[in-house]
Amino acid sequence: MTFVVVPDKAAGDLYTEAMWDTFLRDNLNKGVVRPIAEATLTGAAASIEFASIAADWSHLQLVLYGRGDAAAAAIECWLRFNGDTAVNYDNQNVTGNAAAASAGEDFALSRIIVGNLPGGNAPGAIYGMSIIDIPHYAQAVNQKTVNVRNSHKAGIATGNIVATLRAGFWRNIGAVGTITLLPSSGNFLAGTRATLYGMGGI
Amino acid sequence: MADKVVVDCSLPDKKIVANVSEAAITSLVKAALAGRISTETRDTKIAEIVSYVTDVGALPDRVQVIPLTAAEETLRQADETEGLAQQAAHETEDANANTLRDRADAALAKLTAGADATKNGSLFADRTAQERGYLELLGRSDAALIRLLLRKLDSTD
Repeated sequence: MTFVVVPDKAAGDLYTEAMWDTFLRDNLNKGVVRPIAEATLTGAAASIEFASIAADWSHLQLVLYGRGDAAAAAIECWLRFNGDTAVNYDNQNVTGNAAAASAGEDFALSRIIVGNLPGGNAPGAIYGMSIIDIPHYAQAVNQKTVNVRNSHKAGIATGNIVATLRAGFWRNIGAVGTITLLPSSGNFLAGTRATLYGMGGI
Repeated sequence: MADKVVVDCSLPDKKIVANVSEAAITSLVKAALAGRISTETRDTKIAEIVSYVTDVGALPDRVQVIPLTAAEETLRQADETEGLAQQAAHETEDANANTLRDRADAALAKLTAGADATKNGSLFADRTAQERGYLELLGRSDAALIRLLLRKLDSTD
């Protein structure tokens, strides 16, 4: 859905239902950025799935604040499209950890890695986050590309905070209708929150 | 068996409109639109909203907590095993990269120290500042180049 430019209002103009629908309802519902769906966990969960995503947005953005319960300082957070568990995903990352920068790639994985989150061995109440951009998700002509900004902390000593920029690629041209987030091991902890935003186009 | 959380985006968010009475909606909409649109349009909107709320009330919650199926649990365990193996492989790669970086840092430090010592030695006492600058620059990137340049400079004296 595209944003419809709102016209000037002249004195005496009658504000019709059609104008309401076009300039208020449709613009606010589909023409700008707005939340589509959200899940805030009140208990541990093995995954968070956004299903039946409408195809009429231009782009999607998924914001995740989370933590895992597996017995590790950190876990990976994974993403899959349309329930595809085959090795159809490619990954690249650039990571900053203390004064060291590193980079790496992984081809043909069964998921896009959308960052690390604190695990069960990290100090309490520390959560990580990822912002995941999924442009042009509904077209079914070309493969999908994802960009992720991830922040992760596992303690207050040097080397325990990490900033990562990630790229993910799905070897599939299908329109994205379902997005699944899952931890690499264990569950997402209660307090994990994921919000899916839709973005209008022009 | 673990649970998964599924959000059905095709369903309206009930919590937004939950526990709102028809009278409250009518009052709110009338107040918000007083004098802005015709009474007919306003009443149409009120009827639409009331109908919408009624419909939503009959819908299931869009956020559902569902136990994993046996197949999903099997996949989850396979994922975990593969993920741990991949993580171990990455840690090995990182360790190797760190070792290489440490070696490179040590070699560069040795080279820089050598270049500085040479620059400050008698051999370069009569070089111009520009020549010493070039030597320092080259010495930081390639020891062989500095040796070649030294020979060339000596041969032209």
